[in-house]
Amino acid sequence: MNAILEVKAVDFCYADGTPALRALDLAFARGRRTALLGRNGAGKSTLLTLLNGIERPSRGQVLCAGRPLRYDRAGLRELRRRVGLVFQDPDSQLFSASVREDVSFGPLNLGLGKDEVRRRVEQALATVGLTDRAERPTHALSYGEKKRACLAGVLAMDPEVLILDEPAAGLDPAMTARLVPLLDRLHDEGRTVIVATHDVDFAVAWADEICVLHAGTLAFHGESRDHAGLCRVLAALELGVPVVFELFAALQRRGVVRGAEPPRSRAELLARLADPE
Amino acid sequence: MLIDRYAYGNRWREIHPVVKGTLAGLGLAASLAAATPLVPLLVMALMGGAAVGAAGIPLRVYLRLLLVPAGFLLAGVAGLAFSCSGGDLLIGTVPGLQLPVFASGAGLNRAALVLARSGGAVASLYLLALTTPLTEIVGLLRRLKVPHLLLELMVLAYRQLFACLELARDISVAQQARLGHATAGNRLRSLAALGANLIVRSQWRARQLHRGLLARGFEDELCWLEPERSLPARHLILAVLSGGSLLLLALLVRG
Repeated sequence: MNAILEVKAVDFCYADGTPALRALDLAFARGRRTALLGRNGAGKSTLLTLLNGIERPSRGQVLCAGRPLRYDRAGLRELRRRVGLVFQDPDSQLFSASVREDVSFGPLNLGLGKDEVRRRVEQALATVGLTDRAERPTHALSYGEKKRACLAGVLAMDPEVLILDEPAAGLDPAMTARLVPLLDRLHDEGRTVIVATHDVDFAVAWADEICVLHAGTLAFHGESRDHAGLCRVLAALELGVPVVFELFAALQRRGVVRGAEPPRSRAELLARLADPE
Repeated sequence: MLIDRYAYGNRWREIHPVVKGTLAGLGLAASLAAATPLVPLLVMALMGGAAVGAAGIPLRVYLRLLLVPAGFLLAGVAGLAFSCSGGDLLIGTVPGLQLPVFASGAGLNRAALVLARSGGAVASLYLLALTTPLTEIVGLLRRLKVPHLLLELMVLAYRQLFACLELARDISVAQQARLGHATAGNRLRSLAALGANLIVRSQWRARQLHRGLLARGFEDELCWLEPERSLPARHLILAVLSGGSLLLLALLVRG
């Protein structure tokens, strides 16, 4: 496997000694969509901050494109150019007074020229649909708009790897529905996309690969097609089994739908019900 | 945050901050240089007229905002106008203390001048603050070569002010929902808890924000793009002429 990001035998403890990750080995494949599942406190957010070099592992190594991370200034700058992290809480990211200014922060830090920065900022704002909000003060945005502004702030840096911590948390259904095509578009542009989430339905519908963390260790890592293995782990960890899988199994038992491969989304299930062949 | 709301939504929003800054700066200089109350009063009229008439700030809002500095000013000039140690006219005694209070012509004149000067200065700064969002004021200050560190602090304080207010509101609502404000004792205890929590949470928030900045490649300087606005010569000439003539007048009319 061609791994863009990798953690090897990583331990991570908080300052008070609480362990968050234990002997974790995990590799993220280049160009794929990976969903990271796990209960609260399983270590998802910690892992994501390790991948962006915000935190350093207590033991073990983090690698980007096969090379161990360098934690000096140049190394971190290079890492953050390649790996963009969008935080769960938009207030930990937005610092500037207006949306456009906030989005310009990252690309300016990359040392790009003003014209290029301007071009990227406008493009990022258009991608997340915030062009008409560009002049607004950040504190006057709705929660969903704040989350999109954060995403734009990272997109403007044009990272190869895009990491999002709970991008759908707190969004209304309409916004959540728009998130999937947006993530797919970013993936189609050639990016590796990693999303930490609690939403197992979203994970199986969207991701190519799924990792499940439990108490700082890896409980599952496989293709999202591997529904049998995935469901066992999800049920055991009380993360909830995707609704489409349960419905499919029930409908299969009654002979309503055929095929061994379960659908991955509600739309796919409905399509199969409408057209059994 | 009334000022902020109008700064983002007024008819002078698109006018280049340099124009507004020039006008406000000249008004401020004219008020401070004046030797009689006349020029500062003219400045107040011009700035107030521009804010209410041209930029469209509602008169009631404008007057209400003026009340805040007016309170400080009146308390301050009272000390100049009246004295307890002698003057032209005894106007009474402080009850219970047998302290005489005097007024004098010179004192009243001084008080009127200080009041007018301060009023002119406040009106000048209000014009800028009410028509220009902070980001553009910061851009203006940067052109004036104000140290970067100071500007960064302004921007962060501005952003954190709103974050902190929001947090305080949320905590207060949550306290009310659990009867935290039901009695005077509860209210006091809730207020203490609110204050203590705000400090801890603000520190936590500052740490989170720092991580957020690091994730986007922050090294040691906050940088951002400023909006581009056209700077028509006509506007600038108008600002220089009106503000400049007031300043000239202030320098010519010396009591």
